[in-house]
Amino acid sequence: MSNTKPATFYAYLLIAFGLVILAISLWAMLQALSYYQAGQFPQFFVYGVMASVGTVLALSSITQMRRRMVTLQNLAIRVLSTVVCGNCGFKVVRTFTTGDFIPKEVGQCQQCKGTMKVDLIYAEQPTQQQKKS
Amino acid sequence: MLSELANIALQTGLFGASSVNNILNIVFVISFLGFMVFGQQIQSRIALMQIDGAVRRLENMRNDARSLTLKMIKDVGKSKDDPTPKLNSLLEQFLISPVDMDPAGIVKKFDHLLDVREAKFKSDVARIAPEATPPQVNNLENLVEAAWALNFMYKIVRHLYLLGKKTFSIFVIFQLQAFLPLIMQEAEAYQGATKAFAEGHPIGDGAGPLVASKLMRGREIRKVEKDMLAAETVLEGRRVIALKAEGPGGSVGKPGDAIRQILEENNGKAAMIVMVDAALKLEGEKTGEIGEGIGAAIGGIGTERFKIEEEATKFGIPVYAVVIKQSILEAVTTMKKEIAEAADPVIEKIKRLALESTKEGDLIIVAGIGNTAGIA
Repeated sequence: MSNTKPATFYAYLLIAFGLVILAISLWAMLQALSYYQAGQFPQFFVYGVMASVGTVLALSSITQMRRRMVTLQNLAIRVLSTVVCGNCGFKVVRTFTTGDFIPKEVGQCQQCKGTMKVDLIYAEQPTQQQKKS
Repeated sequence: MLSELANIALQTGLFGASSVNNILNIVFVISFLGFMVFGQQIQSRIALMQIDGAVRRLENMRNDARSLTLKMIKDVGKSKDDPTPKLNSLLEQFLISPVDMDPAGIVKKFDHLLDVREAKFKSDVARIAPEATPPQVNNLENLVEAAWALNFMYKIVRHLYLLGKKTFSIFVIFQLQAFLPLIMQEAEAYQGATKAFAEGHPIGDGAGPLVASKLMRGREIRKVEKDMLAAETVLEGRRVIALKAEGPGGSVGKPGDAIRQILEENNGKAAMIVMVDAALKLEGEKTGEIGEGIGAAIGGIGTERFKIEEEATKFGIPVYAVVIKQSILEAVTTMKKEIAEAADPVIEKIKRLALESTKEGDLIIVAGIGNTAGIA
């Protein structure tokens, strides 16, 4: 988890950069239009090309970063072990620890002193709230 | 003809007749002619650029997988010598398929080759990781196989890329470009698999063994043919022999041999064989959805399916398949919650099948097919 946080930060930073470029491109486009209305065609041509190139590059980089962020979020999974008491059915869900396997015995039940065993091990994507925290 | 068109475009001026517009007209005509003459080459170059990016990504994936494998071998195996050359040699191993001009007996030949390959692979891994326990050796073997697959994919894509670049053949380039998304999807799946095997997580393909493991709980477990385990239990008054590969190290065992042994022990008197396996879902289908069908649900090269079909036909036993659907990525990466939670409904389906198709006291064989990493 800790490895994915800086990567997400840089992705956000690049998206912000893309948005800035997009804003500048839109401003250039407006400038181009005003030059066109004023009949200053060379300036219109220069600003128009700048605005078009900037818009295409910004949109393409934002789209690519968005895709990469979706991939990163998919990678940020938590692996959980469900431990169940064979006697009373008391259930604990905890983070997977190396060496866990199904149905490994992991100690005594807090409630009935029965044997607790790993029942399931699975990957779960963090919820939106957990992602924010 | 083209020069006439160009003259007309310049004279009439598609963008008007001022000096700036003349420049635009020239640019337009040049680009029009350029795309007409060099269009295919430009497209090929763009395709090659995309393939180049994919080759670089595949190279990174291959290197990451190799580094992770090396790290695990050093951590778990505590080898005194540097395992890098031996690992590199393992990653370059290959299997030559038997001649299929005369197909009679090819399954046995294939089976023999696969046995030799597996034994060699396992002993090589055990040699470079001398202090690893048998389950750790199995997980390392799976890890090396995933790294091998990534290395193989990288080399094949690089070969076709360089061939395309060398010959500039649009057929080679465009075919490779068309298959690239599927190749990259598979490569990402293998990359995920390396992480799962390194940690010892159960993978999506372990859905079958998970069901068998649940049926085996609290029962006496014995070893049967070729790295398989069997335990007898009772479901709805029927005798059920559950089978799975030996875990918790990653292994698929030889379910065909195990089913043959169980049938021989019971003189072929089984009322039904139920095979539980992971199956690739189609786009739009939900992960963890359960499907039911007829036939031997088992992947791989086909040797195990052949054995099961042979035995079932010999004794006239119906074979049912219960599958848990998942994508290729989900099948080789850490088991998702939806897949893990499908195990209990699958057992309910087996009970229903037993009630519908067998009588009380009948013998049912339930084979949990798949990789048993993280599942004992």
